[in-house]
Amino acid sequence: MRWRVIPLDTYSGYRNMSIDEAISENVAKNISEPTIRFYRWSPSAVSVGRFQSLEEEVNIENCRLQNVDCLRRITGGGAVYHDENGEITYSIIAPQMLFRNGIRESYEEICGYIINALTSLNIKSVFAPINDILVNNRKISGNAQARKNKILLQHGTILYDTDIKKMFTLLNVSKEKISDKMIKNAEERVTSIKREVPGITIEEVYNALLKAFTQNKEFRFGTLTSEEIKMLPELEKKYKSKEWNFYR
Amino acid sequence: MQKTIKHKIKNGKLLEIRIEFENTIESIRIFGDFFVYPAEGLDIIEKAIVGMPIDKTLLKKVIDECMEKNNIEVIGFDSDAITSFITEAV
Repeated sequence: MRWRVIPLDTYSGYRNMSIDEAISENVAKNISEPTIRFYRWSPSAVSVGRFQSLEEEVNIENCRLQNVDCLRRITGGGAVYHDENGEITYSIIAPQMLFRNGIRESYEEICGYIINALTSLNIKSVFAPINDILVNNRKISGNAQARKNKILLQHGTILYDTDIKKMFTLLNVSKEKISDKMIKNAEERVTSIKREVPGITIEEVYNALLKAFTQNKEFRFGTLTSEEIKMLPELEKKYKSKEWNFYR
Repeated sequence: MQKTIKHKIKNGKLLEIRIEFENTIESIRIFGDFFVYPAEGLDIIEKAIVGMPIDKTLLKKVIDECMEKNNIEVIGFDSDAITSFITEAV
């Protein structure tokens, strides 16, 4: 099985989520190879999980004032701030049979790539089921998975140098969310690679992720196919629409 | 009557239920940072609950049967959590 790896690139959140969905549809039709892609978000954006209320989770007015896009993902999980200078996101899109059986197990398998990358950067991290990776009990990576037509789509964020104070002006973190954590406030829940290893560059982080995700895989570097590109305008309309973003 | 119940489930995810009811459940919306496979499964569960009397045992049976029949897998909450939230609301 040969994988396609799409190198790190930067797009708007609407385009990033459209690309993931277009790849997923084409892998399902067996006309695209299983794919790993790395990307960043510009402008910065907040994405909410498929089953969250965007209105409740996001301070929409603060996002508007700070030119931060807001959108709903097709994956579950929680709200995420994608800082244009402060994180790397990955997506892995492939037939689910390529991963360990079971949803929880496949989360752990893919999160293992991130843990390996962090280890290579001298950061000791642990998988925190269901979908988080922690460093010293603080979150450094959140991950979310969707499954459709026997295709697994998992994407996740690795915090590099996220403006955590800004993050919490954009997200409405409820007291219920942190009620079972032994912390005083939400800011204590989060860390970033640069906080753990000052001086590290985003290129070093990307190279570590690339190596860990492709280890023991046959792969080639590639780009989107024309079939995938053709799907993007319609998908972007969906990710910008009120019907999608406020449907729940 | 309308009620909203929101809690973090122990060893689970944040779950919020917005419910309208009189003698039976008139509408229900379930929110949170959980995972449902397939994603459409949450709408199916909500539809199965609407019109039901508020009876914990009966509701759990309906939700469990609905999930089994439609091959719905949920990570982050379960039928016990939904029924507890509903009975707390009323």
